[in-house]
Amino acid sequence: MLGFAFWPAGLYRSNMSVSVFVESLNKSFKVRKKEGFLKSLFRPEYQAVRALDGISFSLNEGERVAFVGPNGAGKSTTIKILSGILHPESGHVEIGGFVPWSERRQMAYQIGTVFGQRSQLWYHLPAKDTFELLSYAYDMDRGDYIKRAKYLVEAFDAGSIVEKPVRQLSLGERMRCEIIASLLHRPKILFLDEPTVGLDVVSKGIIRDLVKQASDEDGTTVLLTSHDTGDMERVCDRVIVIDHGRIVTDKPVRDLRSGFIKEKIVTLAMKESSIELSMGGVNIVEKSPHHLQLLVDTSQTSVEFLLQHAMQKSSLIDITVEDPPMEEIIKAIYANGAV
Amino acid sequence: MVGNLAFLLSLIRMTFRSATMQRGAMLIRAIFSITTHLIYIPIWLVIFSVAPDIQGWRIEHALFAYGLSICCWGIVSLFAFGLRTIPEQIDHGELDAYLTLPKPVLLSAAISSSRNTGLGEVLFGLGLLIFCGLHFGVSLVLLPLFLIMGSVVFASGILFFATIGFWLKQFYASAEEIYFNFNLMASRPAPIFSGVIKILALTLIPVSLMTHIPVQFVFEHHWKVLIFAVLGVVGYAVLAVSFFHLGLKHYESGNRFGVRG
Repeated sequence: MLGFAFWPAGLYRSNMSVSVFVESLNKSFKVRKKEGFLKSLFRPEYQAVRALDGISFSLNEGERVAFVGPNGAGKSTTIKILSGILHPESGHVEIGGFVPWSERRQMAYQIGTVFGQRSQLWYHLPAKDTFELLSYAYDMDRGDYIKRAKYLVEAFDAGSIVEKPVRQLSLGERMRCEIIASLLHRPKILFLDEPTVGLDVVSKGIIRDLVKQASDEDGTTVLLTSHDTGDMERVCDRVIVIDHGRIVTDKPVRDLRSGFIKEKIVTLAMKESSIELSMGGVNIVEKSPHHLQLLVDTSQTSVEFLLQHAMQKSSLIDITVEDPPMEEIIKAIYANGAV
Repeated sequence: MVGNLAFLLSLIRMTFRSATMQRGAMLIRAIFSITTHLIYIPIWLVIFSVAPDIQGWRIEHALFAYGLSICCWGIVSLFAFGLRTIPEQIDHGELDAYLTLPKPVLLSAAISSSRNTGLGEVLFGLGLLIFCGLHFGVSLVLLPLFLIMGSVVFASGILFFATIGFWLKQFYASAEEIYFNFNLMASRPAPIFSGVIKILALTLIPVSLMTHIPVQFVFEHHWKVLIFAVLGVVGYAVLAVSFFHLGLKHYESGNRFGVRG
């Protein structure tokens, strides 16, 4: 039974700046216990596995948010509930003013979806044929559809790609077509589930840039799930980290680095072949002649103090101070539970 | 409604475009399909030469029923082969994409593919029905109605059994067996069914509504029985669609798959 009775329908419809509103969303799955063949056939027993545990968040119009977490964290379950595929156990959701499970069809006009591991394109036909079918699915005016398709195909530099049967496309080309298909009807909200999974570095870059560009131009709100922190950094302004069905952190991407990480990577290039720097919280990552890379725990030693000390001992040619890679930050967030 | 109709026509166009991408293969499959069904004709001739009257059914009854059954099977294969693959679509989570569209899920799932043997089956079936008209003087006036009734029964029957796939994993192969037997029962003379099988043929697997009663009508003109059959067809279609939506609710609960991401 859905436990959202106390929420008046359209609660957030009046608040035009909120695109996605999620409050106390819960979802459990019934999973059959593994038992003997006969018992599981005639008297199966089930156990409830909690996938989402009261998550709440909202997205403003035009915001680009990454939804990241380890496998089984609840990312895909959330995006499926938000796009009307799965029904929750309790909680309240409004997408563009519509409740996904009770107003699925009306809501569908407001959203675009891309599932990286599943295609909406017809395999044996050129992608442009699927675009045409989708234009009917979304009741688009013929003239408007032709103009929009032409604009997107040009913007995505996909003129020759959309003419080829989908089976002949590379994964990156196919993903470009998937995104065009999802943007055809000018959705206000775009859900992307692992859009860069399996892509090479170049294709990932193209897809990230295109999603960002499309969002900038149309003011589309983007909710993106990914294992790849590059998607988060290149596309999104904000990140929600989820683990065990709970939101672990919800921050702007830039604050995730400064607010959470207490470590910096300092790389020094010097005239001397080597220098000795032994102080608390400073560990050597890499050492070679005229080059030293250090991991500095800023809660013990400040970068400023380290550099002063290094300049006293050597003639520095170059200094680089970096944050650890985003993967490390996310891993640390998972390990610590909450920020 | 207009939007759904435009989407339906567009889906049918896409399905045909997809099926005819390899025209050579389509033609060959159609020819082989016709050949396969032609092989059964001598068998019917032999059976009815030994027993010319099976409780009122003669060779013309059997050929008409066979033509009707094969033609309707072909229509469903050509226009709604997706119905037969519903258990597979469920297993692979392919309904997800349809659930995000503002159009009925069943429409997209049913007309998402076409099988090119259907062309051969339609041509063979129509040929046999026309032969019955010319050779045995059978009236073909109500043939369009019979073809619609038969196709709806086949489509509904396939949908009904395919829907079990919402609860049972890897049901695809079992479902194919059921569809095959459905087709087999529809093309056999009515008198060979009795007892429980006869009840099944009027209820859960209502082949009587699609071939037996229309054949009886063509030869005996019992309007009341035909009206009963038409109502039965509509009722069976409603039952199948309702059962599908019940299954779709189970799909939307996500419990069929256990925990996902």
